[in-house]
Amino acid sequence: MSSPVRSGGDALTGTAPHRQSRPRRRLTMRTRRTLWAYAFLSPALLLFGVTVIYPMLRSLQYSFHRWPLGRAPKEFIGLANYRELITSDSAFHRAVTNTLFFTVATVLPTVLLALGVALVLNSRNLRARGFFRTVYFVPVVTSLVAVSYVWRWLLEPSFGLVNTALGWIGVDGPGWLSDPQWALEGVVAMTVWRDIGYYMVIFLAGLQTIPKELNEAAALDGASPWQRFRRVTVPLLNPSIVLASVIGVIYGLQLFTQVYVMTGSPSKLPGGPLGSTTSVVLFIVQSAFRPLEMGYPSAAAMLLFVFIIIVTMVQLKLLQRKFDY
Amino acid sequence: MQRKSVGAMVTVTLAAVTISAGGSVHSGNAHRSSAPPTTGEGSAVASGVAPIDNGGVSHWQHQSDARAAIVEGFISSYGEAGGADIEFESIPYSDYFVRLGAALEAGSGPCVMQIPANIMAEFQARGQLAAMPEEVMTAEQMESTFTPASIELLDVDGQYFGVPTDVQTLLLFYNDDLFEAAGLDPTRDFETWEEFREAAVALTEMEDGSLSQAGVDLTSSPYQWYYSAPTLAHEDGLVDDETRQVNYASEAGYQVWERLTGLVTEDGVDSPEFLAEQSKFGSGLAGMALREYTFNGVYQLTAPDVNFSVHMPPPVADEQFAPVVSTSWAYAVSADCENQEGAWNWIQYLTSEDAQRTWIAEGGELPSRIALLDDESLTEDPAVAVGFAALAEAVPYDSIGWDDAFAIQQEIWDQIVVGGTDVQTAVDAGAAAENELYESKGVVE
Repeated sequence: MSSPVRSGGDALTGTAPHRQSRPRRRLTMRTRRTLWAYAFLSPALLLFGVTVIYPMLRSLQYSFHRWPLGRAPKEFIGLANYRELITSDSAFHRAVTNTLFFTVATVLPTVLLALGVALVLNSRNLRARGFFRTVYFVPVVTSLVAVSYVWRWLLEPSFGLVNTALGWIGVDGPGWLSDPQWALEGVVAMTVWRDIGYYMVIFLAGLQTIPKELNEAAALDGASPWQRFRRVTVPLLNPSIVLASVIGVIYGLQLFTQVYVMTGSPSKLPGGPLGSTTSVVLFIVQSAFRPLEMGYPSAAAMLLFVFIIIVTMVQLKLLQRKFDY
Repeated sequence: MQRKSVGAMVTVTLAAVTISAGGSVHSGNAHRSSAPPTTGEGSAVASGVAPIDNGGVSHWQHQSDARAAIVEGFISSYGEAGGADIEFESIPYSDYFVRLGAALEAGSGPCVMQIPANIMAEFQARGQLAAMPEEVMTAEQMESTFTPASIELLDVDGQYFGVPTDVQTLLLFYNDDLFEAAGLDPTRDFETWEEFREAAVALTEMEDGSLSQAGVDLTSSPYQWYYSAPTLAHEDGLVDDETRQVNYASEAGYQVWERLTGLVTEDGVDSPEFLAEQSKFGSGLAGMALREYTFNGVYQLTAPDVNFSVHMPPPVADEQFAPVVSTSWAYAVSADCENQEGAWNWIQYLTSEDAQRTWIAEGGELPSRIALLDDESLTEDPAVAVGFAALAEAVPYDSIGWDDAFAIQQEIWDQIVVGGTDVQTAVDAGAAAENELYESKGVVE
């Protein structure tokens, strides 16, 4: 407790005068809580800094150099790597085209199909809902490498199950992974099949948050099921749709495992015939670890990073809506 | 207040422990020799190598069951003879160069590594290899001990950087039963390209408009025949000795590529969609296959029902400078290896004459040592005899690249066979890309 400052003592009480003391600065409760929060976050932040931020900064540094591994001299070349990637590397352009096609071809149908499945599974009249939810989710929890290997055999042109089944209905199946016109489509088919369950779970959770009373009120007002879906369900499901789309696009742009496993073998380097399944990430890996030079693939990685950020920001701007009923 | 200070100190300590644990270096799944080293009398091994060595040596190579088993055996015997502790790691091929490159860069790479002879110069240009000391072998000794084809690519600016291993030639395998069924003689080698092409057509079968039996299994080898065949059509191989540019963008090269791709595009003896990525020959669904010599052993194990014989490949060009191509790897020592002497001693042991006999008998390899080429005890098996005969006349596949060069050559093939591009356009584009690749690697001036 601070004492009143007096000079010459206190005539009433006859006490000696108190020394003047500086008021103690105390941290507010809010500041203390913030500092403790940072203290608990610090291990994770430090690890993130060391394992993510630092390598990204080094990669940015490499991207402005010719950076062969070993004792070979490193040469600063400015924007030459970026210039070559953007203007003259047809293999990189092909990888970008493949990746964009894959992203659009997987995200759109996967999200729509997952939404449809979620709506059906959210129905109270459906029996064995738990069983169907499991059936759709099992591919999600199965190793992507294992699933890719199985689909590689399913899509084998001569005796694979897909072409055999097509043959039963009189359709001459394509060459799938051996045909540059169909290889990427085969990878898309596998990815859509596998990821439906993942987005189904996101949409199921979102559907659970929609108050039943809103749909009931709309029905009482004479809205058809389609109108209720379009005017009530979809708007209120917006956060789930945004989440699914953003995640789907980010994963799509980082395509690697499926093409590596499905189109690579002891006799063929991954990437499909005529580079028809080479993705940007596969291009980066091959550009780095075949010639063991890090500058060029680092520039490609930086371009991919910037592109993902831009696309994500655009998606959030276009898709995110706030609805309140 | 005291409790809060203690809490903050605990948090900071945890953070420090987390970071230091994440940065620790570990040796992964390295396998150690099971036999403790012993010293004793008579510890010198074959060919005069005396491996009295108490230091450790790490050894990486790409995974092959047969090779791994042989190396394990050598590790035991080497240790019993007083040699160094060998820390052996056998890595799946698909990961091998990624792990090797990253480890060498991080300073945690092996002392002894197995690398293709074609990229020896590349590793040397990055300063990652130690030159072979003269005490191990002089250049003259190398040239008098090992076949020219196996050491040509190991010589970088007059110094040798490795000792050859895993020598292979590309040979033609016949399915004798299918030959006889087609009225062909499975005991004869083809003397001309046209004979070979006609036999391939005769061996091809269709069912309901689709291929049901390939005349030649063309697409299932890691060293696709069409990567290396153009080597035979040029006097100094695939790469010009002076300019260090590829030779195959030439009339001779166009002829070879046209003949090889014509087997698929015009004669239809194989298809990329028929048993894609499968061993058609091993399944008994191909009349012939062009594979490395080691598949003599592989097919005996994996295709016991296929009655096959081994032959010299057919000529691919009107003027051919050698009948067959060879490929090889080499054992090399890392420039960062602390026990250089131990590493070279181990390599000498692995490539000694006795060791090569084991590699030949159990590993499906051909010898790199000249002294073994004429050893009749090794060629009692007719298939092995063909391999030895081929090796005696082989020239090395001398592309200055490995998977990166394969990718370009595969693109040439795919452009022609799958993409419908004309041969000259595809070959010229591939040659330009391969020349650019060599230049970017800093191995040509």
